Amino acid sequence: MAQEPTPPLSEASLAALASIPIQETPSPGYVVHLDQLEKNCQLLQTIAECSGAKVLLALKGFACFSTFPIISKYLKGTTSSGLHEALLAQESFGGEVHVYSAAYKPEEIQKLSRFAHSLVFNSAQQLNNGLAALEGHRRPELGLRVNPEYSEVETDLYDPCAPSSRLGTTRAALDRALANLPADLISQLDGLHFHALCEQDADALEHTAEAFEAKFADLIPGLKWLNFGGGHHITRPGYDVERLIRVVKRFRERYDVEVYLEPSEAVALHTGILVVTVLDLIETGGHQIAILDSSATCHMPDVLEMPYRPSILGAGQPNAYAHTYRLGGMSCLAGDVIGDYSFPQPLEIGQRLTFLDMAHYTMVKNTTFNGVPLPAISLYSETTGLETVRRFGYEDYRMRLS
Amino acid sequence: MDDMEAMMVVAGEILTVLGYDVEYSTNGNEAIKAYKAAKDEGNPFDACVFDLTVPGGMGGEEAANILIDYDPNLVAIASSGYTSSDVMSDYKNSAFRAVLPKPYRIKEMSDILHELLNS
Repeated sequence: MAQEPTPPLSEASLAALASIPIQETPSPGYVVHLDQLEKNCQLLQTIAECSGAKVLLALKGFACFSTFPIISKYLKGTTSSGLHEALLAQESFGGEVHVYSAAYKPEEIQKLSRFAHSLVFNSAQQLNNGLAALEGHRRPELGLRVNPEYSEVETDLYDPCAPSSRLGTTRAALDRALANLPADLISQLDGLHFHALCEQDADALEHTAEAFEAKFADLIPGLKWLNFGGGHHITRPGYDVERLIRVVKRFRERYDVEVYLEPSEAVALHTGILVVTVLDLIETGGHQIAILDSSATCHMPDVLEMPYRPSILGAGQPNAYAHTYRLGGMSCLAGDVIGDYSFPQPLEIGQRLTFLDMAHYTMVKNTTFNGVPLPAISLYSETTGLETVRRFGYEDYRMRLS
Repeated sequence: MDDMEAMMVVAGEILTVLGYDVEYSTNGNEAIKAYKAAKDEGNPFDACVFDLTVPGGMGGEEAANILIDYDPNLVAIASSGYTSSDVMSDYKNSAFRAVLPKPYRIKEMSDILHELLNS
């Protein structure tokens, strides 16, 4: 069932995104509003200041590196899901480079060892293999991702604690594995990591942290840090920041550890748009269809994966306004449909539309399926105006093939 | 006063830790109303932190200008994430007694309030 678009924008955020001059951008094109991004980062740093948490940008959700000079002013560093993200982090962001992967190859660990601040392993066996791979190399701080077996995520695709999840080690699996591994393995750890949230408030964090503590508290003494992963929707209007601060402080004080938070979406939430153009208008099966120069599957894959219905500036639910259209992509995928929307005026060929909240989990996940051109990337701020920092063409499609 | 509710709440957390009682408002109109109400009740604010930019609402500069006419003893602190704004770079020609750039820092907030309230 499609959920409502993540979460409604505040009036101020809506006004800011509506001020982007969409006729001047390439289409299709993502535009990141730098002032909005900076506001999010300032909030995150203030929370870090107040709670003592170290806040990292998770590149999995937002890796628009031309914005890193702004983000890196406020956040402590980055977290990556493997070697390539970590290389981008090292090259373009600076600060602490943290890495977690469901599994590493030995040669990846050796490359990461040159610059990573920490490596988090997914299992005791991976940790043991990692230690072997690190022999004779610089040793980053080492962590283990654990599965607290508690989650309030409703979408299985995004639930790291769903039954039989491969992400993180349950306490039972850890104890079983340790029976066959070196006795001092756990003492090699500098930290524990859990990630069981997805677009959630601090109440879910508190409950998850309690579940984590119930299963793993005996392993915490002597550790340097705990990593509470990502999925904290900190910058969404109404998020309970007081509770977040309370939870972080409690763990820092009780266990004398650093606490890391790894938001991704919260860094870029409500900071960007996707500008598209209506290419054709057709009628079929009683529906008015608008074909766009964009695509759900290519440019906003979470619309199909989650699924969700992204908001459009000036449009409403079907039949809320006089003219309802089904918006479809330009790929040949039959299900490349973004959703049904109504507009106060009939759409026209050549008209531009603005999809809201399109900074995170778009440009990091998009594809060139069908050779559909990738959206350009632009930056906008009130003081410096609009700047297109990346355009994509045929070569970008071709270079991925051979 | 801050239009970003979460930022306002966290700033309040910092002020609470520093030992102050805190009231919140999200725009200039609310701030003026709260300021006048507190003064009328005989429990005036010692200081006000104003976010300068409030899209779609009254910002801190306008609110401070109105309040300084109402109460010349107003202790107003300008706050913004944009250090390039005129007020942030030259607050002495405004209704503000100090500036506090965002993100908020506990020590900075403590030092500024201590200086203003004890001078």
